[in-house]
Amino acid sequence: MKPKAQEELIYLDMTLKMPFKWRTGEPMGEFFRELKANGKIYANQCPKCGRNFCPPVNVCTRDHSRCSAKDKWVAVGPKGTVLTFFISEQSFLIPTTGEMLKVPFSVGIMLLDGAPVALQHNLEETDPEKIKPGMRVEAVLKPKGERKGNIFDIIHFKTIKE
Amino acid sequence: MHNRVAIVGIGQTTHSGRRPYVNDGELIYDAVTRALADANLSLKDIESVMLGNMDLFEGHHLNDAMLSLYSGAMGKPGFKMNTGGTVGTMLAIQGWYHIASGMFDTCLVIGWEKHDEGPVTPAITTITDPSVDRPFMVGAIGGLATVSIDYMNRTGCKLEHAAMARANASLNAARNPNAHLRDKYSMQDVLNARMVLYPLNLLMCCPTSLGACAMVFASESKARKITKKPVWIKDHVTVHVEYGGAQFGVGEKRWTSHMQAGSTIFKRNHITNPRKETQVFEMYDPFAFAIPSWMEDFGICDTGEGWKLVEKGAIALEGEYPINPSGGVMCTNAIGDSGMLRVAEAALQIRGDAGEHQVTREVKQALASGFGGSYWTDLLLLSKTTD
Amino acid sequence: MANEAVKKEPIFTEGYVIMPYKYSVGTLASKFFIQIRDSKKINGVKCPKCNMVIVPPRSVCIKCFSKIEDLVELSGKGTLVTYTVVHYDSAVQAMKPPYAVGVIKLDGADTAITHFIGEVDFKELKAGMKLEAVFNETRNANILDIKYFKPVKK
Repeated sequence: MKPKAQEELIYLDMTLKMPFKWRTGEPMGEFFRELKANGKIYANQCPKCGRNFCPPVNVCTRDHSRCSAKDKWVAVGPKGTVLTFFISEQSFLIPTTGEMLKVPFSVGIMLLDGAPVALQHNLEETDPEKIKPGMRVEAVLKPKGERKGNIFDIIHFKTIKE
Repeated sequence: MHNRVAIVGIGQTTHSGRRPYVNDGELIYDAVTRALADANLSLKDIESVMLGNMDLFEGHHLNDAMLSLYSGAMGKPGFKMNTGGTVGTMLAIQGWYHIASGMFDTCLVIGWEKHDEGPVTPAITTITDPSVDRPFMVGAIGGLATVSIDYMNRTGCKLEHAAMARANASLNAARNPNAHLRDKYSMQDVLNARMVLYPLNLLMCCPTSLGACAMVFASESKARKITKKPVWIKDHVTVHVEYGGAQFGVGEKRWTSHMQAGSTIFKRNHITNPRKETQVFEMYDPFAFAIPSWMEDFGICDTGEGWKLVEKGAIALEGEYPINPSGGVMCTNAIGDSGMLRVAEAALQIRGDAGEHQVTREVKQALASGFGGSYWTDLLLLSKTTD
Repeated sequence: MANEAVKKEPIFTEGYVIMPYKYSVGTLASKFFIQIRDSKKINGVKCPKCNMVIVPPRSVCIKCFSKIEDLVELSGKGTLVTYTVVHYDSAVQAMKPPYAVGVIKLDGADTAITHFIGEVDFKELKAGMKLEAVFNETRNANILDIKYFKPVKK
């Protein structure tokens, strides 16, 4: 039922604003404690299939084995290799904070040395011509006093020559 | 052992970017009445109703409650589906289970979305783990941009091939009166669009559309009485997968949900040459690299061959193996509806009812796929006959 | 080490889900709200097939699934079917508690609407009470243009 051109249409402007406090659980909690206190990035390994997880998990997502952190808990990085990436030029409202996304926003999926295990995070480089799969990068962390025990304790990954 | 299931009625609304003169319920009612009319049935002939969309896109929690009047579900049994881009295909699969089980003879499945009401990209970011993934989530397209770079790196595909696939989709959509984006583009037009999410520019990302699609399913005994052109849902498979970098099978043999879905369906149905034994594929293609890269993953062609087939024009309406004669998700994307349109459009091709966007050869078997923010794959095999 | 971790303070990610929406009420409901805003009149919608009068508006008949396009003016008076009184605080509330909410069958309509009941002593609330609509001075074409329903003075 399309209205005639002059008929007024009514809209409801509604903004949902709901606060949340999501618990990370363990061992992801321990991952963040280590990042905050010691500036180290940890992964753990499934005792059955050998798959590595960063951040660490309690249960292997492939075969549901219980993953212990006792002897399979290993520091990875801070260097790694870019597997793939994207760069966003399009800003939008970030629901978690209510702020607009700052663009260009560059994100890489990095294979960290030592495990090997993939981690997603910001890349410092925002020029697509200067990013190639296979490129070497290194995590840049906030100084200890500024780290809070969340993923932003890693500022981004910078390009390194190796 | 299960009963055979046929699609006996199809209805879809036109699709657009904005439609403020209808509300959510009225949009659904439009598709429902069209599907019932196509099947020459009324609501009292429908035994159960399946409804689906992505709740957070319109800002309503559990919206089936306010929509049960418009969907025809009042007083009837049924299901509600919220699974991202796979909503439409999952609804078709749910409808299939209802009838295949022998517990129902008819059902109505409805997929819809009204994207003009809410913030789509912010809503999609909430599918992720808030502690490690959400800060880097830029809509579902972010992950697909990384898939694009990986595909180009692995196979030598160029940006031009994605642009060719998008240009081909535009020619098909121009012939589909229900599609959303119907302007025709050349490969160069596509390459000239503004950058949004490297390497994907504006025309290489799917739009946000609004619309609804409904279908009536029936058991074999009822189907042959309802219509002379039942379309049989011969087989289907769903493969779940987790979101995130884990898709890349880091250091191990590459595996994706599309690869498993394709190999399962072809093996079960003894299909060894999919491009000969099926005649059309309505593939869920949320980005311009989807057709070339996922043709390979599904097993339609070998690895590295997908972009070459696009280059040859094989996927065109008159081509060797038409993909998305409707224009696909690249031209019309109302999320809860997109997966359902793949099944509906594949069925229209089998019936010979696709009008100007009907493919030139007779379609005996067709494929339809779903994919979405949940990163699963659904694949359905439709057939003209029951053998 | 993970086993020792569970004795430590849990880690949380704090944030919001903030999202703006603009809901289209549709053509028929737009007319309903405009009548309230501009004329302080509450309308029902009438099914052309079975004559059922529905308020708030629905463009599909509840009884016979037919399409509805016509409005019919109601008096704004009705009868209280049932009610409750809200005493607790919640983040999403249009009024400060305590307040009464009622299900009100408007004269001339076959369905009931939910709204606040005002200018009433909660002890006097009773199913069967006659009520009438009170409108806000400033109106914005939404359901809260009706301030509440108050008891009709005998």
